[in-house]
Amino acid sequence: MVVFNLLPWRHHQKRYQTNLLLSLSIIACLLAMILSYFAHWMIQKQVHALSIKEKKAQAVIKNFHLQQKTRQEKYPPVLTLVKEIQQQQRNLQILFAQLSKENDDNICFTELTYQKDNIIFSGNAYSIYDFTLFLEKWPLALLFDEIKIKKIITEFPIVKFQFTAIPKK
Amino acid sequence: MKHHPFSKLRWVSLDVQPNQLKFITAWQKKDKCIIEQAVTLNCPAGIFQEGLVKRFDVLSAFLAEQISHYGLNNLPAMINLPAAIVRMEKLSLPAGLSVEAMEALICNYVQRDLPQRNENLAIDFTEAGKMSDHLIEVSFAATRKDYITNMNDCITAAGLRLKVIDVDVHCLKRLLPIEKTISACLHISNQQATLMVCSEAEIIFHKQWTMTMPGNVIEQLPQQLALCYAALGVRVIRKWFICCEEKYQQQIIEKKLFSENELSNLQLSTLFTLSPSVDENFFSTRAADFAFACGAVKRMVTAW
Repeated sequence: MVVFNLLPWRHHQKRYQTNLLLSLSIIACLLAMILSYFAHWMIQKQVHALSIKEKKAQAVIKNFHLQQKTRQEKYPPVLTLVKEIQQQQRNLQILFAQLSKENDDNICFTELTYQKDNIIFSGNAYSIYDFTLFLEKWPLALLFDEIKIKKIITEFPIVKFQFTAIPKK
Repeated sequence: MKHHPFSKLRWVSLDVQPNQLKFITAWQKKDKCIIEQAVTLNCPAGIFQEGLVKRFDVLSAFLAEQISHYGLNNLPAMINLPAAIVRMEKLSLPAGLSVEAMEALICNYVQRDLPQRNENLAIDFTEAGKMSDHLIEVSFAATRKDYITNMNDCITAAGLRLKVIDVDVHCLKRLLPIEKTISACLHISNQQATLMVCSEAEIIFHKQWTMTMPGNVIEQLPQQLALCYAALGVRVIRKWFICCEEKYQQQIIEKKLFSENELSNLQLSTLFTLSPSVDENFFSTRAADFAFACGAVKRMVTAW
């Protein structure tokens, strides 16, 4: 059905639609800004939470490193320890191998004590001279850094001796 | 009055008739149109001349007083003009023209028949249909712009916001039930009769005449009907709706101008819901007085 309005409604319609469009555009922009701000705020919050977690994790790692460092300082490295043990084992093997080959009739080892850093050799000799001669020519002396004579006791007809040898590292 | 989401809900529909001012205030509640006030006022003498408003300043002052009295300040308003001062026709125009170009062509078409060719016109038009690929049919209404401007200024100065200027026969048509067949309406109020014949889509014929003395309207009716039938040609009116006071209804029935099965009384109270503030008895007995105002509020109200 035909509907007339003799007032200039087209002009008003255009103005109304323009205003409506403008209002809607402004609302849309504001909404977009609010949403962007909200999204930014949410992301920032998450980033902040993650950074706090990261800081905590870094502190834990730092603490762990410190503990490790302290532990390393406190205890020698395991590999070094193992190497030392293996070296000591080899030295002992050589020592025992050489001792089994020992063919000096004037010297007799009666006791071999393995202490923390050194080996205590105890034994008997015919005389101090024989003992001195033995030490001078003892091929196993090369395995040790230092040899210290601890005691020599003359008990006729033998001389009892005891010396400490520090193995090479 | 259909509700638009951005429009004000409460409207004032004014019907400025010679020596009388009628208005209703209505608002929308879901699908119902509720009439809140229905008032008839006698205008001060000297406002009207030959059925038209001549003293807009007096009318404005009177209207302002009544608007203030009834608390209608700043409400959106609609009025209707008598069809006698509005030229309504159909015109074929080339398809694809802009609104401005169409308005200019219609203006030029109407101005050819006016005594003063450069007279400003208020025009509204709507596309009625497509005639061919290159031609469209446009229904238009045109009237003198001065009258519209004066009326707008008068109502705005009185304190209302004039939004719609309609044509009274279109208001009347809106009150009729939508039917596929041709129907007609005879409206008599305030010593003025309106005869309108319409189909579902358009108003085919309309005629208004004024009573020279009480009862004269019925005497003139056979003559006006003869004119109407002549204009219709082979087309037949299937239903007649009468909207007038009971005394006129009796006279029409006594005259046996229409067969009883094609005659029907236009009941406004069934089309609208009355709020408790409106006297139902007053509205039903004086319904014909408010027919144009009621028809105006039934139109689609836009936000602008």
